[in-house]
Amino acid sequence: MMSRIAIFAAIIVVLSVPTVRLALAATPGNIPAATPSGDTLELNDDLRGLTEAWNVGGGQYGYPFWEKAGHRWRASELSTSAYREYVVGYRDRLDAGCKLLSSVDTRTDLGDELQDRLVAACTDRVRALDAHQRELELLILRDASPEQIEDMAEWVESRNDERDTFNRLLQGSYAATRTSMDLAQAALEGEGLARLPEDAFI
Amino acid sequence: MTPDLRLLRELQALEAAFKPASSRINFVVAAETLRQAAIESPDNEAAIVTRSGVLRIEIRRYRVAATQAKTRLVAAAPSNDAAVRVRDDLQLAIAARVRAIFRMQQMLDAAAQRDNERAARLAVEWRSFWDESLRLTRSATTKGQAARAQSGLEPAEEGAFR
Repeated sequence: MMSRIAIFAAIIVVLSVPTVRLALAATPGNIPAATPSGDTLELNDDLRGLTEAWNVGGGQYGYPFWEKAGHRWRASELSTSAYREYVVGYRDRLDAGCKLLSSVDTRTDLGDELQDRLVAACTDRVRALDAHQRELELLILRDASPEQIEDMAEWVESRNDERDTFNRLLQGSYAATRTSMDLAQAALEGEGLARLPEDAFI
Repeated sequence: MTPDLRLLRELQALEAAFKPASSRINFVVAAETLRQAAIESPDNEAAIVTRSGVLRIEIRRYRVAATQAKTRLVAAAPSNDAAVRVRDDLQLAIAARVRAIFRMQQMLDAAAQRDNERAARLAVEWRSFWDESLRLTRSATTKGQAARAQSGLEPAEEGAFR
């Protein structure tokens, strides 16, 4: 846990160095289709920076693995305690990812707006995964030590609350990233710039 | 507003039809992410071979899932205009995904034959079809959620068309 945070702290420091940000903005997929103005370059830089932060902060090594583990858990191919490790791993990665997203230095109005939306989506997803972890721990308790549950009705109510919180926050997070992506792609197309990878904010 | 229950049934039928294509896609994505990580690590030939094998298995499984979804979408036959537009996006998305995984398989073949130039070209092609499929599923989600909102229905699960 501490080493993960240390790695993300290092990434935040590295990404804050202007030459690194310029290098990221100059990768082949980021070359604008038409001769861009200064504002257009700033928009491109903002959106690529946010994309990179989302990718590093859980998009690449968090989401697909957690989602796959969830399918296996629901199909009873993975134990609840093993699945919980995926949930916690993704949550911790996202937690650092939210800080990384906040640290991106946006310079355009749209960049600012998208950053706010994405940070909120990221924070909601962390809270969703917190609730999911609590739900899973209730299930583990029921399966491993049912004698410790004094009031089953209370246990059921707690589990339902955590599950509802998880679903509500997760759906909100997904909707926010979807509409953020719609906004970003429309803005890039409007400026004649290359689109972002379509799974940039997944 | 009275909820449009016919539209609801048609959209739910589309969600159920697309589910096989949606539920296994991250198995492919995760396998390719691990293969790429092995390629980017030094002296990792054994891991590359193993992870390429895992990816081939996931591609084969996904092809079956995509075929199931394709058949079910045809059978869904919605009548509401909004649902038809969602169905059209989903059918195009599946076609793009099938092309993407076909290119991915060709990329693995080229990499196994050490034809790096062809493998690199196919990597760009699969990524392009994959992007297209994601753009279409996002469009289907946006259209589906808008149709539900206009018809007094609750929003669907955001992940239904992933």
